[in-house]
Amino acid sequence: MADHSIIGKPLAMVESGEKVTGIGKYADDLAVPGMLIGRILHSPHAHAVIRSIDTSAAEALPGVKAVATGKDAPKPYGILPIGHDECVFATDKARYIGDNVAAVAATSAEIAEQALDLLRVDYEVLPAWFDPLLSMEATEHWLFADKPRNIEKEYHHNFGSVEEGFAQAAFVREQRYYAGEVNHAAMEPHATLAIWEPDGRLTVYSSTQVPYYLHRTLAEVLEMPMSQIRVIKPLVGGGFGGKSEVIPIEIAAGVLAKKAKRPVKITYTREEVFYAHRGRPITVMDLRVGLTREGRITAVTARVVQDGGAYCGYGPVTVLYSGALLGALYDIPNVRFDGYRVLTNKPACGAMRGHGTVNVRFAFESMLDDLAHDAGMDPAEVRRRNLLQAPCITVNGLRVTSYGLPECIEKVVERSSWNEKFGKLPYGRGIGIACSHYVSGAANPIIRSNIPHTTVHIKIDRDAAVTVYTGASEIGQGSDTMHVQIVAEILGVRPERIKLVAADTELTPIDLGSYSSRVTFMAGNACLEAAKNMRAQILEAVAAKYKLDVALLELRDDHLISVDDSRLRLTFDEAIAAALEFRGAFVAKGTYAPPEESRGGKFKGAGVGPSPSYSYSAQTVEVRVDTETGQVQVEKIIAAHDCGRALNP
Amino acid sequence: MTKEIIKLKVNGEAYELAVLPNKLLLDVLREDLGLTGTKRGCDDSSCGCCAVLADGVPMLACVALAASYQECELTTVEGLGALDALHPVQSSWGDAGGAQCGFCTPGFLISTKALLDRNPNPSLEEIREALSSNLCRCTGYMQIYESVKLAIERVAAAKGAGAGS
Repeated sequence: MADHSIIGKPLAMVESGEKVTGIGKYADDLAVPGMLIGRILHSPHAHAVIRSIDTSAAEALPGVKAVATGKDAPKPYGILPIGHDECVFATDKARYIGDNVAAVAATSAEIAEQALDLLRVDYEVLPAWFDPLLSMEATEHWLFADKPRNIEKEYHHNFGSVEEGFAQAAFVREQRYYAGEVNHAAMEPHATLAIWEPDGRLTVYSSTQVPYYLHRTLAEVLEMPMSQIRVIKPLVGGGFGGKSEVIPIEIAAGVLAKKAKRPVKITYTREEVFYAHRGRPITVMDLRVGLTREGRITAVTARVVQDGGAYCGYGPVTVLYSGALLGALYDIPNVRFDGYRVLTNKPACGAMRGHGTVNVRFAFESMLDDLAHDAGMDPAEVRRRNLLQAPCITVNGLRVTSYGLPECIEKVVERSSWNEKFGKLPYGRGIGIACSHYVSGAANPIIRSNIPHTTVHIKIDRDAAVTVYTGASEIGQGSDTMHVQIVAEILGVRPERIKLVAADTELTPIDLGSYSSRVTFMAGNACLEAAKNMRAQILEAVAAKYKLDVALLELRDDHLISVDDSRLRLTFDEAIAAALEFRGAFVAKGTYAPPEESRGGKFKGAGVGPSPSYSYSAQTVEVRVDTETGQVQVEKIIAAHDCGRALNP
Repeated sequence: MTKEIIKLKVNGEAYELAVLPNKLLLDVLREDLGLTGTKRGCDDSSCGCCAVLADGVPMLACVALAASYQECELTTVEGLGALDALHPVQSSWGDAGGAQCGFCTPGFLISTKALLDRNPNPSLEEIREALSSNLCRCTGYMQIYESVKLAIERVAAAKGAGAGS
């Protein structure tokens, strides 16, 4: 790995020029001739039957080109195949303040807003559920008639024997932890531009993290073949999970564009971003953990209740993640998990950074500190005594191949001067430690399929430009740059030679999207395979033309050279011209699918949590507490991450 | 409401436009002039994505009426420097990783340009103070402070070379 010329060295993001000059286009920056502005009518009630909607006054307003309600797209959808419970516009009742009821498209934003005021909705207001613990006991006014007691999903997992585990423990703690709700608050509010093409096709630009899932959902709800719909992701101003489901701004724009036969742009206000939400749920966690005198964890039970809000969304996955990673960071022999995803009359929750795992990790690490205190042990030492021995399979069936947690702990202990500080700081100051881990890509797709999780194409023609086609979505994390680095490295060319075409369903092969920290690992591996394939084609063609042994040829520094005796030295342009003779333009393909053995166990819910690779982290935090007011001031955070090999440090 | 003719000077160019008197400067820049580098991240002056310079002073275009800025020299991110002639603040942002998703970047660049114009060698405290009305969700701000430090060096080097800024 020593002689890499591009990988492992810092490279500015390839699109940074567009970003620092303001010329890069995000979805709301797009405008096309004839474009209408769309606005959505949101429910003012948390729970209400929609008796009727009178659209006549709005439709009569000059400048209004389309009004859409639930009747225009009644097909339910959802990101999970088991959770198709949302409609673009509520067809029966509104389930939270902000729920989508209708939409208008008009020649200006002002007219669109006037038209919203003219929509007459007859609501029958119902009692609403706001507290998940009360909602899950509800005997009436359920959000969905087929979801008794407002429970979206529940899962009960039992690994080992927690009874035996607790019997071996010298110290047992039991406590309830509570975590509040968080919104992603990406700087860019969601925006979309839907263009109804003259030939009856639909083109949708969207601030999405998941063009492929959006493509599928548009086709399902609009009842059009996928082949008639094109989804393009322009620059995206941050996602963090909030743009990883269809929410349903794009479908609303699609419905309006189809009705008006005109392009329609909808951009959320910041208030609407909070309505759309899909953030981290309120979580109530009842945790019980046992520890021996030697500091070994013997058993964990967790009852986790997540407040999912009004719709399913990613909910079952979120609650499964809270259990799947609970017992897999350390070597824990006995784990019982009872997880409940509960519906309430609030904006729907979904995936947000560390999907489902963050709150239970907070609870567990807090309790581990308390148990260390009970045992009279250093909290860093307790963590060291419960490490996995990789490679291994965790108690819940997750395959761990590499495990950088021990090094992470050592690094933060050293850099924070932990041994000099823990328990020795003056009154009102303190230092703590916690560890965590997360997947590098979910091993199982949301929709079960044997299609590779990602495919990358590369094309080289007579201009000797290297064009890379990837479905992967740059959302600010460096996806585009990562592709350029890998291809430039393997083909031995300057990064400037590479033209990247990304996230356009008409041009680029499928990638599942920018979620679960999967892109560098999965799209990166597909890109590597495609680039190696391309390199082999070029070298074979040149070797044939010059009657040389292909094993002696190399692509390096924008040249093709023969490594033994320098019999051949061509510029990359010359090499491509030679290679194309009698062959024409080259195309190469690479794919990535997680290996079968990384896909987890067979129990119900086992599909969530498995990953081909996990990353680990440890942190120490030093704080100062105002002993009069209780205010906590964070003074210093030392973090160590097991990120594998940094491609772009 | 009827439209009125207003005159604006943006990035050195003079414009005469017919707009509603209540139209926000942000919307005029984005919709009427096609200067979409200035972003809308909120609607209530919380995020700083819409910062522009009015006579060298950073202000928020989402809470400003366009008609009130007819006497000013306005500068947007597009006016800082083109791709082939980046201002040191822009190139530093690219090189030091200050821009990730890039949506907050124009606002930060405007605030930084104003800071360095009035104080070419600010302390970290002064940098934090000057950027305190700009929000970033990607970087955690550390790369942004690194970008400003690099910009300070590059602006100084450009001045040393007699190029000015």
